[in-house]
Amino acid sequence: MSEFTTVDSFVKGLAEEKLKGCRCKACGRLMVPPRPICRSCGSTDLEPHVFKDTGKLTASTVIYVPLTRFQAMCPHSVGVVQLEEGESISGLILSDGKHLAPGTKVKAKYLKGEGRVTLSFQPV
Amino acid sequence: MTRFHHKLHAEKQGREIFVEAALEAAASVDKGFALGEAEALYMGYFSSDMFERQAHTSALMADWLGVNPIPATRIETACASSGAAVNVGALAVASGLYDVVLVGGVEKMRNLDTGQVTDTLALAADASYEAAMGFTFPGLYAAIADAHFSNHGSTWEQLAAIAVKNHVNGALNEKAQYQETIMEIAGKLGERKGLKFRDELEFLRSELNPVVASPLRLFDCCPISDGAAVVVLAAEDVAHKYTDTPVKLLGLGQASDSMAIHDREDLTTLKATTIASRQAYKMAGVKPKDVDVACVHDCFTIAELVATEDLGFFSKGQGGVAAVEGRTGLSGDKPVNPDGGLKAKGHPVGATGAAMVVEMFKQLRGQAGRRQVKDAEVGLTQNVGAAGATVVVQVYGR
Repeated sequence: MSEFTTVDSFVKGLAEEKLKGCRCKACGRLMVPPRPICRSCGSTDLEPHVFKDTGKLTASTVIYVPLTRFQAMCPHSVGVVQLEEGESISGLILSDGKHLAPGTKVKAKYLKGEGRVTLSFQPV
Repeated sequence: MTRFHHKLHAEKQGREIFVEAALEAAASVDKGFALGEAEALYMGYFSSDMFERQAHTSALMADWLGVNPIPATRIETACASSGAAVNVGALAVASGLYDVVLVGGVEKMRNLDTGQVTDTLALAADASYEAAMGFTFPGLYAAIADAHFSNHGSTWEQLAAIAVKNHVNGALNEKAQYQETIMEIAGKLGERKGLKFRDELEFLRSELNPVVASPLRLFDCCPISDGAAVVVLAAEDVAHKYTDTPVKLLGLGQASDSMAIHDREDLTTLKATTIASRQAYKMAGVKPKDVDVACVHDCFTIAELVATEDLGFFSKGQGGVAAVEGRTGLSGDKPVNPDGGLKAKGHPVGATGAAMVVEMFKQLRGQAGRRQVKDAEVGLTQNVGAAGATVVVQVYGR
């Protein structure tokens, strides 16, 4: 398994403020986070791909009963973002606890704290 | 099955709740049944490890049921654990290896506080790519609701109609956690706060129904529950030894979908429901229109709305409309969750799929009392793991 297809490589990418995924050399499918097997054609012939960090909200919610790790920032928003390349990813939404409508344009922000980086998006 | 409840089982462990359900299942067999007659046990328990700091609960349950040395296997597919256990048990019987097996599930959730339960349930989502970004389990369904509202024009008022209906049904179920209508609850809670409510919607819009994950409020969410459910599966050629009126498992299906919801092309459908139900319909030789009664996985009101569309009861975008029109009520043309659903009956995660089968057994034998669906001949159960990465569907007949 190539090291650029692991969860660890994605997490380390966030620390470098990069959205690191992969591309299938057989069929061209893009994947983020990266995977060891192409989800379209099953090929393991993959290469690293760094995604653009802008996109639009597909759906989101404002959380009032949070995970314990997110209690300090509650209420907080979280949602699904479709990146410019067409693939989607989940992220914290930095909207001051307001609900942003689907379709809102957002840009990635790499939120650092407690020894980790949380993938976040803020409206542009 | 035991009553599902948030307080009743406080002093018990999961093993004791499971034994209670198994003894009741055995006692309900018309011509008598001893647990020792079972040749295998398949049981669902989502997270005994987190809730009770106990693993290997299949052997534990077999031991406590006194059925050693039969093989006992725990099946974990999140909230679909005992639905999947029913499928595995049915396949074991269908293989010809066993004539009679016990299947069931249990969850003892109330050992942890709400924050810890929220953390534990989020383990059923993608821990690295969803929970790590702040998605709670209600949050995932809230995002599905947001997409459904945006793409299909569904509304929170439609979700409220589902909660109201499921509480009406739960009030008729002696095993339900909440046996009160929403107006009865509104009256009680309002009295404490000096508030009066004209109707359900006024109460559901009030501060007494706080937002959990927008647009989902407290009464859009199933509660945290303890409970267990057990059923006996027998091969068709031996069933007559146990009853003259068996309920037949006509078809089954199970499908998996991407773990993270962001990897799905359409957030407004659970593709695994569509696929699993198509398998079950085909095996049973029935169509969605033939289903007289259904138990679907309403862990959140939006989940019932989406399920009634994905199962083919209503077209996409019409699930909420149908709920408001009363079509899924006990006297509607497509009764859904006559037992109160997860919303009112409760949702001890690992027990839910088996509890749906218990309800179907009663409905199809005409023994569901005040919540009996008239002339129910074909029933369907849909049990969902987390936000749809696993879906199990069964079709039952008389």
